[in-house]
Amino acid sequence: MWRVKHEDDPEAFAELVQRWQKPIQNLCTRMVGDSHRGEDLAQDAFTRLYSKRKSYEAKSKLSTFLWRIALNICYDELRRQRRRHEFSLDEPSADGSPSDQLESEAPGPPDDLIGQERAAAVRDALQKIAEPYRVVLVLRHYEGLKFREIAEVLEIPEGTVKSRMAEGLGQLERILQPFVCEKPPRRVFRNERLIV
Amino acid sequence: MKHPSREEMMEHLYNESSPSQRQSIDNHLRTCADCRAQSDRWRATMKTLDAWRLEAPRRLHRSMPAVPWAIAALLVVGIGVGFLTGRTTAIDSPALQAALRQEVASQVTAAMNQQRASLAEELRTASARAISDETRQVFSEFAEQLEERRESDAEIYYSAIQQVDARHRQELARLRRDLGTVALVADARITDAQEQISNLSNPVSETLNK
Repeated sequence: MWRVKHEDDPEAFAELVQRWQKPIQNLCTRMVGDSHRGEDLAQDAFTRLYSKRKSYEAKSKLSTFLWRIALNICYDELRRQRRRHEFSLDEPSADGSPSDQLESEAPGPPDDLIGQERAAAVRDALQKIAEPYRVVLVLRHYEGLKFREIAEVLEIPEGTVKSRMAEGLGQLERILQPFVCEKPPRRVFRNERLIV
Repeated sequence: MKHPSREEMMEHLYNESSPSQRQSIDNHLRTCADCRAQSDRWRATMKTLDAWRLEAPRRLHRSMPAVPWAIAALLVVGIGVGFLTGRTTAIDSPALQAALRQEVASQVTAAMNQQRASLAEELRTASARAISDETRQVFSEFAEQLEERRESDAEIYYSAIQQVDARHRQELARLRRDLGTVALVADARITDAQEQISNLSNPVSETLNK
């Protein structure tokens, strides 16, 4: 990032994009529930990163800076979507979810129909829960950030991140009730050792 | 029995607890059916979340460097052929080497041309994307400015409405005061008139009585 900031080095920026493209695009896709839009938003995030490169402070982590930029872009997009919904003359879907718009989109690689159905259900469920919970779930569960790192990105206490995570999982459990039927792998305790 | 908090359970589920805390929660889960059930439900939801997998993002396509592979392949073939021909006859070796050299040269040239064309295409795509990004950014900035302007206009409009509303309220209050004053004056005058009528009527009635 130093080379990008001080030397406007395109090669260094290309390396940075290559390193971060996947996680940022995944974050955007999961936040807005649409992979094509996620791709566009990720591009916007990198464009904004480049335009804000001079304001980047080396004392903070690049990842934190980039996650924040991407999240702000996602929030802007979600605000625009809400505004479009509010002013739209179309009939809203029965449950108010964006699933109607997304119906034609393949939810992901699973080949089997059940897998696709589950993936679509998860995608829709995530869109139904409030953004403060969704963002924590996406960053922790899918992007693998530690709770401490999420707290840093969102600028909230770590305890709040964990309680939002618990609340988000609870909300998802209720929404995904028909799909959360499988028992998790049974944890067997034996001689003080945890066998999964 | 102290149940672990939701926050502690989250750390436990995502393997972020310290070893001692993990041990303590594991011990608790062995004995507390409620906490175990809650933990199992969370785990099941986490597992369900894994159903939504995403494809790898599309990248700017960069072809494998063809030249080194072409050279390597041709060298392998060349060595193999050379080895075989060397075993059968040594006389044709220089001619074979020359033929191979020519073949390698033509293959390398073709591969280099292909890579050059591929790089030119990538450059063209990247330039187009950069222009597109720039346009999008300009539009985005314009939209932001428009939004700011709209919000600012709304604030001005709201403030003007508030001023008009306040003026109306003041006028209404003044009218109400005036109306009160008129009512009081009218009331006083009516009372005076009644008294005067009464005063006038008293002597008349006394005279009549006499």
